[in-house]
Amino acid sequence: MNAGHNAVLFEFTNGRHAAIGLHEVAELVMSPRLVNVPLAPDYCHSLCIWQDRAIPFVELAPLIGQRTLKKISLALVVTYFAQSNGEQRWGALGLSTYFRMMSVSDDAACLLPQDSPAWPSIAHSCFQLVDENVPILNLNALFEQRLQLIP
Amino acid sequence: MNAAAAGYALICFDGLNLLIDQHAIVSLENMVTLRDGDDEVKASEIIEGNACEVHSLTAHLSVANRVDTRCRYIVVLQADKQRFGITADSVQSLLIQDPTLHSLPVCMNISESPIKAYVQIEERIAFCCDVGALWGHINSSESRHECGA
Repeated sequence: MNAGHNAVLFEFTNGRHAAIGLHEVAELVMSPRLVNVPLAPDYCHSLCIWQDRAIPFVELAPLIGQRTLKKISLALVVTYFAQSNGEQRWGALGLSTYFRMMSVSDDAACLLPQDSPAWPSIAHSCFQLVDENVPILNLNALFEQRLQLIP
Repeated sequence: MNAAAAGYALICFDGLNLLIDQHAIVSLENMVTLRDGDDEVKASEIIEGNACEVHSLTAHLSVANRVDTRCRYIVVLQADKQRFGITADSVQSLLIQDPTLHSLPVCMNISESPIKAYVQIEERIAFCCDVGALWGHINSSESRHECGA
């Protein structure tokens, strides 16, 4: 790990990326054990069993109205503090490829992508990476509210 | 969430584990007996003289088009004034006296869903199911989007 790294970048559907803070990463799980939750929304259809906990498993692509084109075989376990009570919580993001660490500076800040109205609800900022606007996820917003699916 | 006070039954079908208040269970019928030889069980079946609808549910809680005769049991449930049956592969009393119920994470909690909480039982996850809400779900259009069984 480079001391200058402060973010983790991952692909959530073909050619589209999002990022989270490096300090929010707990573990990358290969072949996660998932338990389908009946009637749960498409983007968080399962609980992921991790370290004897059952944590919500979220896929970004359905949430912003895109299809998951590759097989999701990895779970990036993340941690955050619930805004409601300050309690530490965990969640998992479904990935099909490995993430990479990188350095993001304030001068790369840009507007959120315009392709989905969901971004303002689940991202707190965004940075420019080559020709892509990469949202930085707000994990509390992603896991601690019931989001509307984008058709 | 508070620990459960009442006893629970663990009902399994299509790979799904449902935890249901034992007080809601009217009877447990053996599918073999009801099948009575060669005729397939109809979705409306006479059980112990009490007519009630019988349904097979999928792991997604969708209502299958036909009753799954591969299941071993029909669990007859009482929801307020309504009695109905669901098919099951296995039914057992939960041996844990006071299982710790965990609320579903907010992001996967739907107000109309009969499932609001889950319990971890060793390697398994069982979902606590409100029988009244399950009956409402079975009768809603939302439950009939999938075919199965």
